[in-house]
Amino acid sequence: MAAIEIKNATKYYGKFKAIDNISMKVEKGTVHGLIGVNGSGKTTLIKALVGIHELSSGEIKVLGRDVFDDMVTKSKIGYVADRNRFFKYYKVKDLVKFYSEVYPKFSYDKFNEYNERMKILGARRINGLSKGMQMKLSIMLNLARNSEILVLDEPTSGLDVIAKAEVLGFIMDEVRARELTVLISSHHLDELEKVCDDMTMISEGKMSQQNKIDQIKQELDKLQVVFSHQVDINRVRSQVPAIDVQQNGNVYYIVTSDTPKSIEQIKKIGAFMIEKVPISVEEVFVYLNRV
Amino acid sequence: MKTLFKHEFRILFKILMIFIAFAVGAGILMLNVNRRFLINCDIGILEEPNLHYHFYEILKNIQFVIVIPIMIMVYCQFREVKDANVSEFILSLPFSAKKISIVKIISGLTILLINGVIVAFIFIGINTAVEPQLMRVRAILPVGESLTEHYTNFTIFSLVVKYTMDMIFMYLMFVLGQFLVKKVSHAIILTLMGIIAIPYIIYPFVILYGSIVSTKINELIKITCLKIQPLMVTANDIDGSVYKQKIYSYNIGQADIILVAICVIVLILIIFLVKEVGFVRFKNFTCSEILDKVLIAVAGICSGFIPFYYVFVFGGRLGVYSIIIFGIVTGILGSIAMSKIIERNVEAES
Repeated sequence: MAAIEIKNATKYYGKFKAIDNISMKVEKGTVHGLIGVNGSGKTTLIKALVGIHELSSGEIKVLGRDVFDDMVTKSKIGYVADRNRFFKYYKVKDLVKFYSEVYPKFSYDKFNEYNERMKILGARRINGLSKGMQMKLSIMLNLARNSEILVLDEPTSGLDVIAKAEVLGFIMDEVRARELTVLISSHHLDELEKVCDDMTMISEGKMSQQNKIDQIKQELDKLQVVFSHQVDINRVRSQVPAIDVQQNGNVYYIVTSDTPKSIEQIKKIGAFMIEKVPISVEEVFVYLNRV
Repeated sequence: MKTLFKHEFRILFKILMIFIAFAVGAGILMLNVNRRFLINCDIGILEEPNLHYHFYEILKNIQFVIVIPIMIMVYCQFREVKDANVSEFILSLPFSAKKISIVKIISGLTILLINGVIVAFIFIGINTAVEPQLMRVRAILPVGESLTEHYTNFTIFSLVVKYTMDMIFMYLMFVLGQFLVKKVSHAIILTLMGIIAIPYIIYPFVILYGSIVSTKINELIKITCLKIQPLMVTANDIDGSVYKQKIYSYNIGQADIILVAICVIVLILIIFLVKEVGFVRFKNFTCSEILDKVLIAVAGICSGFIPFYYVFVFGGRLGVYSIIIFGIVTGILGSIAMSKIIERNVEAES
């Protein structure tokens, strides 16, 4: 049984279809990335997943159970929102107490351990915290809750470089220690690439890809090419079946989904060096969205 | 659930203070009446203070003003879970919409009960404290025995129960409104207008059809408002003189049982709507497309009465046919205005 199973999820806001027939699975103990451009439907999907909104059609099951209005399932899901909207008039220590009362598995020791690094004073009011500090607080609270599933929507937004590394480190430690299942959405694909086992790409409310990181990278190839003579870049663009062609001095970078045909054409033009270079998930995502 | 209650009372602490202040305020007003009575007794003026009449008058006046803190209370309770940004955080917590609603309602009712209990304690306390003086006064009054018979601590208790039940009814109506209309502030305004609309629509019929209608109206009003029909007691002297006294005594009766039944029905309706629409499943301006249409129709009907009020309340001059024609025009305009408001709100949300 997958930890998270989404089948044919569709959500309308009035007449606007925010997500359209999305199906995906997240296996237990894995870190799954959810990527998409702004407005693609990631946050809508996440809000349906954590029980804030109900789907217009389709189903979402977490650990085999429905989520919406189900207290048992919701108690197993930790949620870090893109903009954490806690009770503004509470102090940090009040919110920690609130969490400890709502979630029986909440660990003060764990929270304090994280807070030794994050250094958020208990006496501070929530509305006095910066966006980044509220994010750190939310992550610490949800990690200290010992939930079985952790859903994070843009968790590194507003965080400095050091905090980002620390937060991602905390999450990975939890995954290793107790098989925590994580669904994380982010625009920072370079960060996701380091921590995710697999990814789902969403575009205009629809799922465009779901695969392991390595397999996503195999969708496209990036070739580093040097020609034996001066070649006009437009000739390369017109003759080679490439998604993108860039030139840097004598070196051409060609991104293609049809590598054999591209190499054939490149050789016809007169290349004396063709080399496959690593391509990042971010590049794959950018180029696939362009197609 | 304990956590939800703690959180709820945290939000409502200032509101609780307001309701306690109202209760204490009522007590202070009564203490003033009582003080005058005792001063009179001290200087030998034995005058029946008619405490029960003052109890009734104070509560009758408070019940119109106390609508405002009730509205504020409902706004504070439901803003968090319906409109405000924090609603997403609350909805992600492991509590069902039903549980959250039950906690809110119990918290609201508790505050109203606290108000009622304080009023009851103060009023009964005052009445008990001056009982010796009251007995002295009534001993020399021709209708003294009747006053003693009708003015008891139990009738004060009944009066306060009625006052508290009226507040509970009003509160439940505003809560019901939250599950009928999407936005918190719209729900409160429309519930208030709905409550005012009833006498607003009925009044023209009272003017036109006089006492037949007004008698029936009075009976209906007694169910949801504190209204005592004074009892006239008489005492005959040996020499044939007749003494009369109006008695403002309240006893729990049929109207109260009907009110309790209405409150139970409203509660059942609320629980039903919690399951149907919860806090976020409003697809229209109200909980259903049919109710949107009903709202437009009611807005039309209420607007249609404007010419009537222009003539009969504000002294305007229009003939019967003009009232009817202008009534149709204002009715249509009112419906259009309401439908535009609904359309704009639905578009803005989508």
